[in-house]
Amino acid sequence: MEKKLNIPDLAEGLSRRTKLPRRIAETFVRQFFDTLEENLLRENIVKVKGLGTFKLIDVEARESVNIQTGGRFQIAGHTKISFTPDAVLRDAVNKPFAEFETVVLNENTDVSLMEAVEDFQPLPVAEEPQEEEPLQEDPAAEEQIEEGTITEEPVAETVIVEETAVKDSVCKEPSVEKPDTEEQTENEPIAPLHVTPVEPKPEMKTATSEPPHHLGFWHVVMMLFTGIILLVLGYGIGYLRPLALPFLDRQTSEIKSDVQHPNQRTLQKGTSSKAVAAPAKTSSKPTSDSQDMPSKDLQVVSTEGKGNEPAKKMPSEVLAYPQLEGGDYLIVGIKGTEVMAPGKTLLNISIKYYKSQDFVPYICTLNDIKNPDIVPLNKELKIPELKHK
Amino acid sequence: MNNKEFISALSHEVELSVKDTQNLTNSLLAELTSQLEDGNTIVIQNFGAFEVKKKLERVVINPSTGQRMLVPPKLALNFKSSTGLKERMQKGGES
Repeated sequence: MEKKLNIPDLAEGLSRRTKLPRRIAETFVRQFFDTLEENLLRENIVKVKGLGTFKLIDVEARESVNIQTGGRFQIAGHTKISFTPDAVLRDAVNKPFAEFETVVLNENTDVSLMEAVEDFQPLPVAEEPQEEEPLQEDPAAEEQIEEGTITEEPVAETVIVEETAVKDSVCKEPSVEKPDTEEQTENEPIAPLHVTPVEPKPEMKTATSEPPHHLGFWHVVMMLFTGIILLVLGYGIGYLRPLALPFLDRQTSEIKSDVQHPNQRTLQKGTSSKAVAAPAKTSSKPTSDSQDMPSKDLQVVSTEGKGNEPAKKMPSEVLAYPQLEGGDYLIVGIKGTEVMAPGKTLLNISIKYYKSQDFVPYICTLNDIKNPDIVPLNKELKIPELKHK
Repeated sequence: MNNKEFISALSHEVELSVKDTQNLTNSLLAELTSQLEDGNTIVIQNFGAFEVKKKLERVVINPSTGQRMLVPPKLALNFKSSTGLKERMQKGGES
């Protein structure tokens, strides 16, 4: 696919397109670039529509240091050629990546991990633009992960966790299950991004260390199945948690009765409808049937991480407001309102109330502003009361 | 020198009408573009090479707002002038 083409190859393509004899086509190609060069040297700039702009730029003489000897020496002034591709050509070349857009990061997204991933990256897959699909929740994406291919996704966070997960894991199964858990957390509106991964891991290992002889067809089927269930569960949990919290006590008692039925269907129903239910179950499950239902255990364990954490972290008043994912502060109230007028920006409102411009994301979150660059005139903005976590 | 001037200079050179030259140029550039789209490198002897390079995604910071942006990966077209052209450039610059 990636070949080196010379003038003859180009001429061949041209003669195919124009049905001119090859010889003439080749002469034309040579003439084309000769003229280009000649005019470039004479006029210092040549614009060709469909190709781009060639420019000669003078570089002044400057001093530099020889890194081997440390001695100073002069780099003579010279002329360099600069080429800026035409917009048409640039877009055509970039077509495989065209759907990607620059994304504004939340202020607390951890980037340090991503750099680690970039070092870790030299997998051949990363080079293939076709392999890169935006992360989706469908089983197809699931399968990709399960096969162990690590694709470079546009969603940076997921990539990080997936890759680190793969690195950390000892046996095969946890490495497969972990990304799933992660995907789920991402889907959830409230759960902080970084909470899940560490806690459930040791338990997962104990659960899976026993049946390694299961590998093969059943293993794959099992994993696929679990993956799908996990996705559904994750969605359900994320959706229902705010509703579920007030009824926490009642549910835990219900769950205790649930535990008597090790039937998988009731298990699913129990966990998906009651988010906080999971912890109670995990404690009893792994001991009872660790041999033939490893994946079920995993489910439960993974839900535990999520069910627990937010319950601990969120006092009741916090639930009343939308929270900024991954932020250092919690929105606990409304300290005032501000009407958007010409000349006002989210930035200067943030500075006015918090003496810092870093709080724009919180204002956006509370007022459900998707694009901070566009805020309708006369919109009344609620100013969040913030509390440090 | 803009596109029009370039085409007329070229038409003079190849002894064709401006219109024909324009058509030929368009076909040539279409061919070039489609080859580059496939990720091929095009080397023009004594002139330079056109090459598609992959740029990794990266995080940039807007210095005035401190906002961090994730710039997606992209394929960029690079041109590298040949040594021969470089030499001729230096000579041309001196004279």
